Amino acid sequence: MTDRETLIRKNILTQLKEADGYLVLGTHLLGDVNMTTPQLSSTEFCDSIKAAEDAHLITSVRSERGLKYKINDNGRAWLSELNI
Amino acid sequence: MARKIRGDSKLDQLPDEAFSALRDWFAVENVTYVQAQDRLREQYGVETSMGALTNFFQNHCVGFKLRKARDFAEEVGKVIAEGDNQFGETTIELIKQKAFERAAANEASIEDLVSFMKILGDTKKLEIQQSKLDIESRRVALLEAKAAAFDKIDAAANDDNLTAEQRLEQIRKGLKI
Repeated sequence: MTDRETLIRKNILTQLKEADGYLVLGTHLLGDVNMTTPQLSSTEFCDSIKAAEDAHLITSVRSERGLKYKINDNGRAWLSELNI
Repeated sequence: MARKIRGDSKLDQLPDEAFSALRDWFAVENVTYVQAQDRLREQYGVETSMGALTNFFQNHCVGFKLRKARDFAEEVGKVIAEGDNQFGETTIELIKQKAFERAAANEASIEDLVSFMKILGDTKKLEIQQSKLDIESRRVALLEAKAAAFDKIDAAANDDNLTAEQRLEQIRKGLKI
């Protein structure tokens, strides 16, 4: 992973960790991560979300309002390794 | 990666009022960095950069909104769980999730959330008032029953057609001795 990819993943997982079990709507998550990631593009965000899901760091749930996400234990462990 | 925050970062040294205001602008009102920059200048005479605001956000606001949304959802869950309703655990969890999403939304308004809680609060108040009315009704019914019993005792005590022993027996019955 590049530094940029690590930064985006860190910011996504940090937000989801604060939700602590609640599902976060994708659009809300993008808005919040956008504030902490300079010049974040929607492509970067989507790619990072997909990679995090593939790595079983987060879980997505489809709803009538769109995809919602929550962090998994693997995601928490990944953040712990960054000392966050 | 974000640069390590400098110990003398201007925004970290803001007076408490300005610090709280800046955090609330981001976390509650969801202002942009440009809006925050303008407000800081206009309201507190503080000039700052986008980089400093980003660092401030990362250090003090990340997760703040979601933590508050989570706390709000837990409070909603508590109010519902304590109410006299028929909601099952799954429904309560669903309501909590909805409350969380409302509070976490960028367009969430404090008025909406206050109304949401007020509705639950009013519902709870109504339940409490109903419960008080029930207690009062039962109390009144008991007092009426006692009054009726004493009327009978009084009638028995003044009934010349009864012997002294019969009157005493009627009084004992009325007092349930």
